[in-house]
Amino acid sequence: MSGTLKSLSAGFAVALTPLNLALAAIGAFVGTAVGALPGIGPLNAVALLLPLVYALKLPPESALIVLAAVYYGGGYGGRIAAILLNVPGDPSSVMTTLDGYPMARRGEGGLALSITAIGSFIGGVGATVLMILAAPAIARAALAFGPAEYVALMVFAFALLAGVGGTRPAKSIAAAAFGLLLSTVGTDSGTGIERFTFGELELLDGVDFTVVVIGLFAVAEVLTLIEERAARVSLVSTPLGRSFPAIGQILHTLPTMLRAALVGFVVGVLPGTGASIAATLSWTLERRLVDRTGTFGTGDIRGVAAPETADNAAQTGAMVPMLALGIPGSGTTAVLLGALMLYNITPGPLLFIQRPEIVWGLIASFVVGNVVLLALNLPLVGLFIRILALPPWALYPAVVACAFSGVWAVNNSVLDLFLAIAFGVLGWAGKKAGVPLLPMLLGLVLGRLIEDNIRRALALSGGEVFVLFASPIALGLWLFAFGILFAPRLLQRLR
Amino acid sequence: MTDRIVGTLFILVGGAAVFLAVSWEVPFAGDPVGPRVFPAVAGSVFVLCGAAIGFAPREGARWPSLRCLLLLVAAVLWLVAYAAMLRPLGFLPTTAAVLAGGALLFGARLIEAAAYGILGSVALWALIDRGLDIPLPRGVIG
Amino acid sequence: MGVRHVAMTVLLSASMAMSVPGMAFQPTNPECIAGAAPGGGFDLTCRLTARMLHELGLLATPMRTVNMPGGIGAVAMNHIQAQRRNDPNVVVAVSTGSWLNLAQGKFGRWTENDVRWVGAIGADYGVLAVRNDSPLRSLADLMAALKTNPAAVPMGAGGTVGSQDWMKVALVARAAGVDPRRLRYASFEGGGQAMAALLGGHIQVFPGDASEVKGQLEAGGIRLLAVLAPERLPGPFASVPTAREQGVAVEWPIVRGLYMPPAAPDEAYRYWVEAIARLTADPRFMEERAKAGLFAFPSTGDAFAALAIERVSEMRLLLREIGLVQ
Repeated sequence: MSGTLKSLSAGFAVALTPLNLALAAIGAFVGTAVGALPGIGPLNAVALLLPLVYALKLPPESALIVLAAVYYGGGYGGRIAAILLNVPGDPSSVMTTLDGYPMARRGEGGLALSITAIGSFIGGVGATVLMILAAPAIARAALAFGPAEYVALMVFAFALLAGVGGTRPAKSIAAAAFGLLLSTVGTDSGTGIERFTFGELELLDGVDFTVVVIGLFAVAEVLTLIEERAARVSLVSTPLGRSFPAIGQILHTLPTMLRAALVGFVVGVLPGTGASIAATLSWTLERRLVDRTGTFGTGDIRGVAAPETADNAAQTGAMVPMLALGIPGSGTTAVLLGALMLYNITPGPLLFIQRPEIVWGLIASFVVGNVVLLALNLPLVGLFIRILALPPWALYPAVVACAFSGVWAVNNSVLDLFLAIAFGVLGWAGKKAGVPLLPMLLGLVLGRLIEDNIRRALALSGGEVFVLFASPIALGLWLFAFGILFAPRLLQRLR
Repeated sequence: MTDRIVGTLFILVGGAAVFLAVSWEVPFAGDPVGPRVFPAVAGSVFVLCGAAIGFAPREGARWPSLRCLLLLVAAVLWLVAYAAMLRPLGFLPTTAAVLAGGALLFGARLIEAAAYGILGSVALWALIDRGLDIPLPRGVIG
Repeated sequence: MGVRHVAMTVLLSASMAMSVPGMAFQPTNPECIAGAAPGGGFDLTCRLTARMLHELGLLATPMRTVNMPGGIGAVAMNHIQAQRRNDPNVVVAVSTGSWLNLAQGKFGRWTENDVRWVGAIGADYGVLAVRNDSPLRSLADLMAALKTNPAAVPMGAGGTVGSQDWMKVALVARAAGVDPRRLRYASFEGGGQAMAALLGGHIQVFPGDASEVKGQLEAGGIRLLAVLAPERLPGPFASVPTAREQGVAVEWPIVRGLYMPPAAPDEAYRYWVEAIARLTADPRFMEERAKAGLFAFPSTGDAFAALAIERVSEMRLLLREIGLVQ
């Protein structure tokens, strides 16, 4: 342990040099700015800035510090538009809109942004502490998760989700089924055949989640506003309100944040899941645990804190298998892995022994990056919420133009823009017809994971369905899932 | 009425999905489940939900006036034109047009909208093309 | 602001740039199209080539990378054919994975004869990895195990059935006289997850690429039964025998290279071939390429075109034999 402390303090000595501190601040700011552009998430932010950083010929630890700061900043940037405008910038901030946007409508947008900044900080630092304590051991434990365990985890997630959103179950289930159908579009990962591509080459890789989100949120939101304007509902300019949470509010959300940090970290460490799953699980779990008055989804401060804390903790958690085993658990860590290799650093078990200065410098820079991000973003909250003071004619066209440019920049696909528009119309009509959109998005996120893992598990077992329940982890998750679904009703019966 | 239409649409779309899914030819699948089952099940659930909605409609949806619908159609067409013309005409003119048009739709004055379109498109271009070094279509500018 | 700062520094740090001397054609606003999202193999091909062409003074204006994901290059191919058939300033990243999909007819109506092949910038090689405690110790062990009961050897990788990863084991199975359709193969979301499944004991064999197993190999977490290369690979791979050494004629190079539009002018084509030839012969490029996990694979111009056409038709035959295409 003292060895760890020594290495860590050496790591901090690296991370705290003026150059590296300045780089962390620049990285956090640039990451936030790029991540705030809907359509460009942390993955793209890191991938796009990597060549620029490499071209600067910085020493490896400085380059990693910048990239880590960009990574966190990108994650944070996504929530600004999610909270203030109901336009999630990346998949993992979809859950943030549920409570964040209602808060913004009440004039508490600044408060929501501050709480997410604090939540991200707690998530990032909490996860880093867990990582320092036992990165290699945790990474090895995560390997116990095979296809069958992922299936059980997804069932558990669905059990938590049951009853979220919508007044009519048939419509919620239909929306989820549609999301599941959407998730099958593209080249089938088992057999390589094309599903629902209609001969369109641009659909071979499936429907980009970001495109769906941009359509359902940004485009649909603008259509709704046009309608309200035409119906002479005056667009009330949102009050800006105060930005900083009272101590009481922070204490009120602290247990949620701590739980979310743990949930996010665990989900992030698993190589087969990511930040969106972490945010979803954490929000639904908190709703089950602490929401006694049904305020989740109507602007509950804990409903904002949970997904954002988990999101950041998952981003950090994803680093664990990458550093300790050389296994990228997410697209972004795959890019970071590529960055490490550019500097002749091969992540994996030997990294901790051969290049401790890199590992601990990087870990220390996570902490520093999170502190910088908090210090940077709390004062900027006041600036961010000024966005809402713009007249509607300036604000909403810009949202759409930014979202479309972001989508275009990443995929260069005209079809993606058409799809975003189509989903916008669908989202607008869905709102009118009372079909909730959230189950559809969750179906899209979870669908691929469920199908792929069921088929993987059965492919490897040769069709033995029993493998799905064979391991203690899988069995435990199945039991939890059934408990969540049926325990409340059973208790009611007994009474 | 809305629920009846929604239910019918769901049945049609879900039915088409199931029909397509079961008709896929699979040279051979490495797994015992294969690629057809999951979409077919999801499609069937979709059909069932559509039936439940369509045959037991509850009302309450309020659709906008014809004038408003036309406005919405115009807005959607405006976006479609943007997407279609982005590559041939280039990023700057199309984005300027979409920004200015949107601003007018939300009640800006002509001069405001024009200035906004030009400044906004240049700012976005600077951020993405120059800042992030992602080439945007040049179009007519060449 | 920060981005601008970085961009400015990049511009300033570019030395007095020259270009391939003695060439009439000079590209203006050159672009490299990567048929995948930022961070993938195509993206690497483009960005590595662009950066080094500029740093070595082979290209006066910096080449920029455009990402056009979809179908292992199918979308990019379609874009080139439909909109830029004679553009002299664009090159497109290509890999063996694209060739395999061309052979399966997954590039719409385009074939290997519809582009001008410029050259390879390097290659990765297929490997067959097992966990360090695996009872399988050589390629012969694996083939014997497959012969006895293919279902007893669960395997998996990032690609689908019919992908490069699957082909690696399918070729080995075929050499052992086992129908590749009987392999117990699961596809994962990327090689990283397959590696996790291997280490976790959920699969027994991972037919991956040399670059993605390097870290675990050095750390001793896995063993390699064979590299699917013509000769032994350098570095940590030096002790791993090739399949050929073990009497099995299976090779799987993952060639990474570039092509140009079908109607690109001859002088532009000659320029790009010359630029890539000089690039891949430069020791500074070799060093950077090694960092990116790629090995040497010198092949440009006519030789590369011949290779591409030959490989695709070989694959077509192979896939027909296996029964993956009619």
